[in-house]
Amino acid sequence: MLDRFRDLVSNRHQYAQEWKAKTGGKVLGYLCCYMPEEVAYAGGILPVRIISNNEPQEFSSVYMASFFCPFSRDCLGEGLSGRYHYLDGITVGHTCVQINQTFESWVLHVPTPYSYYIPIPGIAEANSLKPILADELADFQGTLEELTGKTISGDDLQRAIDVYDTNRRLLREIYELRKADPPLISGAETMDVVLSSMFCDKAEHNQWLEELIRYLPQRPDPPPPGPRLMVVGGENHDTTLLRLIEAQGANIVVDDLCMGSRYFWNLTPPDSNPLMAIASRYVDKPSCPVKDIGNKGTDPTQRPRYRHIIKLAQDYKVQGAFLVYQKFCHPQELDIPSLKKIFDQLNLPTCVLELDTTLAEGPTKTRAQAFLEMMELEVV
Amino acid sequence: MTYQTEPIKHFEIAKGLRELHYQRVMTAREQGKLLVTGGANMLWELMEGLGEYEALEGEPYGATVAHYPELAAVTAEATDSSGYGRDVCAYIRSYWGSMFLNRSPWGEFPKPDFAAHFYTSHCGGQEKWYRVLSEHLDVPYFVMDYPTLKPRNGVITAKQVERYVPYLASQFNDFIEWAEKLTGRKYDDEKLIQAIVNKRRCQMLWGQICELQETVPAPLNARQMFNLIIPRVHWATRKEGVDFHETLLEEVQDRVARGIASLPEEKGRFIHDFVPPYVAMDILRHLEAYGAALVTSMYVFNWGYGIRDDRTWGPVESFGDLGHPPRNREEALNHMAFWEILREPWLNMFSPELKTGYYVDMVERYKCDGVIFHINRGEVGGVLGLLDSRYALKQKGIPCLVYEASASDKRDVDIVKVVDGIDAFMESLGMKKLA
Repeated sequence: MLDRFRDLVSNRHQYAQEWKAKTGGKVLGYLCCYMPEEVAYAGGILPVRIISNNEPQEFSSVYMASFFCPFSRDCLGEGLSGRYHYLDGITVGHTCVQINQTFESWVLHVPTPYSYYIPIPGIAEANSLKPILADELADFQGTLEELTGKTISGDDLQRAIDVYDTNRRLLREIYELRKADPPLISGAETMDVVLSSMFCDKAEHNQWLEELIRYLPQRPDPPPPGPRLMVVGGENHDTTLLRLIEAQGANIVVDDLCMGSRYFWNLTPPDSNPLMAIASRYVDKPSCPVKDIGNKGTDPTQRPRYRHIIKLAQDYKVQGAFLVYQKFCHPQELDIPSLKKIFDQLNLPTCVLELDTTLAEGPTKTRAQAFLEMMELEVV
Repeated sequence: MTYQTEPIKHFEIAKGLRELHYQRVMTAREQGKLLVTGGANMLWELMEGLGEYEALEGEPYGATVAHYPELAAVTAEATDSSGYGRDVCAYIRSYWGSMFLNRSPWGEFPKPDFAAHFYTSHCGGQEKWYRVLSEHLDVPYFVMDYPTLKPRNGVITAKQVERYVPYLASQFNDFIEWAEKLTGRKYDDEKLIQAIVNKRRCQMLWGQICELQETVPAPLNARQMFNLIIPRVHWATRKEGVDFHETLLEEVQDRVARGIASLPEEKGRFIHDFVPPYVAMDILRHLEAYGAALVTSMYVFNWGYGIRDDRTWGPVESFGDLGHPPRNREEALNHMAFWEILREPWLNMFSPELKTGYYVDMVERYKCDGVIFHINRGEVGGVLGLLDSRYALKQKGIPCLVYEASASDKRDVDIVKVVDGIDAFMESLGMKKLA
């Protein structure tokens, strides 16, 4: 049952090409979870997230400096290597400088018929932003209509919102099952489930999720009991890391990752204007460090991002956290010291892991073991 | 051919103004002035309406700290040991280290009354810079969000102008209300308007000065220009800034008229981008030893003129959007927002395609023989699109050199490697060290 999600992640390129052959539809690659996929889906397009392959590559070093994060460089490398040759377009919602560089270089150097950049401002004044973003989405919609030759109606948008929100609701249900002790699904398995939703037609994925939700309470091999951990960070989709941590006897029960809960956490609020509804959803979504700029006070616990993380830690009764970030990811890494303090105040130990293109399994395993041993000592 | 050279009088004046600026910063609070920190690209004209204040701009302060070798080393290490990575922008690390240690080149770290930042999100660390300060020193912080529109085709649409001018103007207004409440000061709209007039004047004057660099031989070189931009950074909104630029323009015009060069021999002319390696200016001297005149740079042009409707860079009518200087707060804030969206030359934030176009244009106009790129470690914003531009320029047959160093952390500069690269590049162009 769970293998199908993992297999889809491994065979994502094949899935997209088969989908394209079957439906005759367009496939749109996107970078970063601030891209409002629903608009494309409403036009009969399959949005697929571009991710790195966690393999060493040298293609991108011609265009990107060595101190850009491995994820952004690898994503470009994937494009340059031709693995995404089937894409009809690429898009990004304004995000960090490094992913923006990936987008710009992709447009210049990877032959892709359509490209679009959506200026999504920082979330400083959330309410005034929503109508502006809705207008931007209308422009985006117009270009997609040109790409496909089809008009996207209000009903199309509403249907897309419904399919996406169903997916989000079902993923939240899976996360609810992780509140059990021990959880009914491991952190690595959950990441496969969430990741697969980024490459799969959401309507099909919803069926898979419903089956999974029925299956999990009676699965024969639930995760064994262990310390309950959280993973906080950015563009991490390497399930090897999570498997490695969980193999040491821990359970990762929740995350704040853009490849995890941040991707789907909040639903679309009702609004008679579907684009306004979508805009509201993206403005109100749990912030990534780039967008987390709304706090005028001096108390870090009041940062919108941290408030959300604290709530997750409490709701899921976590006992410790891994704070992970891609090497050279400044927005993430500059949050680490204050985030560590926040966890200290919650009496929750933390372990910081810097990620590179490939995972150094030996040292990471040693650190995970040491962290878990330290947690046991603290409990004693 | 050997040219006549003579020192730039304003070089020393600029240095003096920088010292005066930091004297004012260090004594601001005891003199009853506000001390405000924020990025160099903060819209300081907004502050002027609050009355007497001094600005502790992050980047120049970081560079200044790095200028003192012992302080540079301990501040960088203090930031490292506080849990922040070595890969982060060195300006930030110098600034934070000074804050963590409570040490500046002139005594204690000048604790500001509040922080205000115009968040252009062109650099991953910009917003966090003052967030960390705010939380460490318990200092209030206001962020204004600039929408990054990325005009790849060079066109910002009328719809976007309509969309984002009110978005920005309302944030400016919110800032004024917030700052009034925080400081208890009454905002003076006349001072805001005068500050905007001064800033535009400085921009136009600096643009004219930059254009004079088209002359052969160039009246200034990059090392001089990097110093001459300091008064623009600190005081563009003030009369002192305008006075400096007016007399500087006169001096440069005079040099051009008399054929005074920045280098005695100009064997080659180059663009140098992006920020200078302030802690390793010997790199630029090494280039000069070949007679390589670094005549122009997007970095220094960033402060001059404006972007015209056809997206070319050059003189624009300062108050063309209004037809006259602003007359009240509403006009002032709308004008500022319009300028930032459409006119401000955020050249470093343009798409690689557009940037490459500017480089090609600059190579032609400034009669350059190539482009030299400084990859400032940790400064992802400045490097954005830079290698794409290098690639495109090479395709067009324009020679390029890329060297990696740092604006303010000497530990990140491998001077031998950089010099080797320069020697090889010069040799490839047939240039030899001057006797």
